[in-house]
Amino acid sequence: MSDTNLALTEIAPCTYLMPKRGHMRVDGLVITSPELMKNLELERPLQQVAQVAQLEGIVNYSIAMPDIHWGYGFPIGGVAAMDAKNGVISPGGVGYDINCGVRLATVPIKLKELSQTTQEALLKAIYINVPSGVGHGHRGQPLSERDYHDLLLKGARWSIEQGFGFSEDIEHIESHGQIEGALIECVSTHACERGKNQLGSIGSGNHFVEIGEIHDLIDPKTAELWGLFQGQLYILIHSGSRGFGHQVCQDTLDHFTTFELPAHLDPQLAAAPLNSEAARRYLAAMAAAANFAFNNRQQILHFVREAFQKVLGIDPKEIRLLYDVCHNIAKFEKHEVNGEQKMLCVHRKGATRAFGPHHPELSDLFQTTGQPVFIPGDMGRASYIMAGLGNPLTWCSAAHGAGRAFSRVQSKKRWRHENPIQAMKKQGILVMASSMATVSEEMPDAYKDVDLVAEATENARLAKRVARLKPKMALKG
Amino acid sequence: MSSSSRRLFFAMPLQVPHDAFWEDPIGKGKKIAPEHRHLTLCFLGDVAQSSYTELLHHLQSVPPTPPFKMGCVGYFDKLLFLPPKIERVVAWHIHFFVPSQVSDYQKTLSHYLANQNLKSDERHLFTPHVTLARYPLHKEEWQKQFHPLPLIATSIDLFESLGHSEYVSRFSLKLIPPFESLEHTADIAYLVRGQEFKELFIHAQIALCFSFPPLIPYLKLEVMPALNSLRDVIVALNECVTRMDIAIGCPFKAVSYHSHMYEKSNLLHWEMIIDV
Repeated sequence: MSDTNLALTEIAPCTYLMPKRGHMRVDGLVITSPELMKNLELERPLQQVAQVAQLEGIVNYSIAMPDIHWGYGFPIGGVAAMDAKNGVISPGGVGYDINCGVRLATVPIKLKELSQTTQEALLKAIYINVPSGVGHGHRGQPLSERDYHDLLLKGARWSIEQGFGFSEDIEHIESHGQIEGALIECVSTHACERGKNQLGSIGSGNHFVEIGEIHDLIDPKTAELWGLFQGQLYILIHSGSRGFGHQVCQDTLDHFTTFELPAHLDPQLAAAPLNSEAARRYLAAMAAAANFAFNNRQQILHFVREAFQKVLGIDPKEIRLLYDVCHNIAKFEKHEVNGEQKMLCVHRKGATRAFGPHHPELSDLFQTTGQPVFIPGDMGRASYIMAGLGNPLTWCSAAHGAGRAFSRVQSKKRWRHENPIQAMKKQGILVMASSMATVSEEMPDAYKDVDLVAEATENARLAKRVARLKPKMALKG
Repeated sequence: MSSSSRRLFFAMPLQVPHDAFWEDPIGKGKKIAPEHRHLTLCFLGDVAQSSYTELLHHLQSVPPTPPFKMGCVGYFDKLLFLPPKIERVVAWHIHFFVPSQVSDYQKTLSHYLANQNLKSDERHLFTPHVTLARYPLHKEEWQKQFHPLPLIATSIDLFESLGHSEYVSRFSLKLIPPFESLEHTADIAYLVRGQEFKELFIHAQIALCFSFPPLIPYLKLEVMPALNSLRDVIVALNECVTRMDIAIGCPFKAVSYHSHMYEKSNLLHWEMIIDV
């Protein structure tokens, strides 16, 4: 490392140790590759890895995923497990967009079966059916107090009971689409107000609905088990808990930042002991926001299924959810520490859980393969479906995306004099969006090469590549 | 204008965020290009070459330095057709956060010029505005396009008119920018400056509006919250974000608790990072 004092030593393929120093309680562990390091600004995110290593009760390592970049408190792509007895919980280790995540569904036809005109009609139908962008939200009535009570308690099952999807979907959602312990009384009125018109909408920023084809089958055996085939259409949805979750995080930070914090710690690492009332309330509110997010993605998929039915006559039930993963969350999980099973609170901020084969929480379909892990790249090049390997070094975690290469400001400047939608069309990719500025910010050249991230993830034995996806249509906020 | 005179005026050039209507308004009228739009402070008219030379010399030796050292922030709050009744030009009116700051300086500048035997045109009460186009106008078309936009003014210039609504600066007094955009890989960042927390809050609000102008109606303009720390500023900014998200939706998740703040030249400097 040339630009930082936080020197890294390779201890295994694509696995680097950042020895503890100063106030660090544990070492840092960075999953990356020489190619990724060449193109990454690592100094600030690694400083954040070192800061996270100073938190009370952190176990083994402060971990960085291959798509690490500068975040709030934790880096994006940061993982840390805290001892459930004497550790802390930090909202900075979850993020503002609680349970931001990705779900992937498959369509039983091939992309090549769709003409250009049909593809355009399909994207238009999705654009009309799925609310996107700033201020676009819920298509029906605002959520009532009763709705909130039920959906926060039941998770994605609530939307299915309302007709948004099928009971089979539940087996294909992380934690069965419901984080236990949600309490509406731990959520502010402002959070409920922000969320009441936003359920079932993708929002703005880097959130999207993407349609494309399964381009390369890298692990045909796993692909077959999961019902994937070459050229198959897929639907990839990226969204989170919208204003509801943002406000839960904000309210908690407003509270936690009043606590005394050691002077050497970033205020965004404000934390509370896991056994405190403050932590209990945050965990209950975070669970509520996570359940809001599961419902959000459930309803978005429903609207996309409707669009497919309208344009292609495909029965919504034939559009099968493969999996739904969270990548901004803290969860209680049992892991082996020094030969003993211990309950840990695993913070994953811009990181995906990647349980390996035979994990008791996984449904039968994934028992022999490990859970699906999705690594979206950008709307022009590729995304990946991977299978978790349950690597104990990272508490069974993997990367969550490609990560940005250029800032939003730079991207907008680069595309100021060109129509980015037309530029994408020339590359064979159809894009619709509520805001042209968002498309400029999200152009493929703004992102790093997802191939390198997937390769490092596999080389470090976090997850193995199953299929490489090629985007064809994208709906942006 | 004779060849031995110059058409002069003092004005503040303005910076506004990227906006389609500001940059290329639709509507009849002799339009003034965005780079030539300004807030006129004192119009001197045609000034003899000798007086111009004297003025330049005086400006350099005893500049009309304003009592404020930072740039002025505000927003366009309404459409105007000026002058009243005749309506020869279409203009956007400016609401400054500290309205007296600019109007008081305008009077000071007028006295300064009078002391140089230069009389500025003061037929009308000073109304801070920017002219977008001149007669002939289609009022309805212009009315449809108006929407509030934030602005900052970071210099006071002596301009010379070159004709055809083109101007060139002959003298400039630079003010400290209230904020500047910073590079941030994933989100939006600004370096915000202020003499105290209240001013930091005002400047931060306008910076937020530069990223998303529809936030303007949700700003805290009149009643300031108690602001005794950066934490108070962040909490108050997030109240604006929350109000907007509830009302119409907001592209910002929140203003983060990133608290890198330092003092330099008696000014607070804060790196504000907005999660989007």
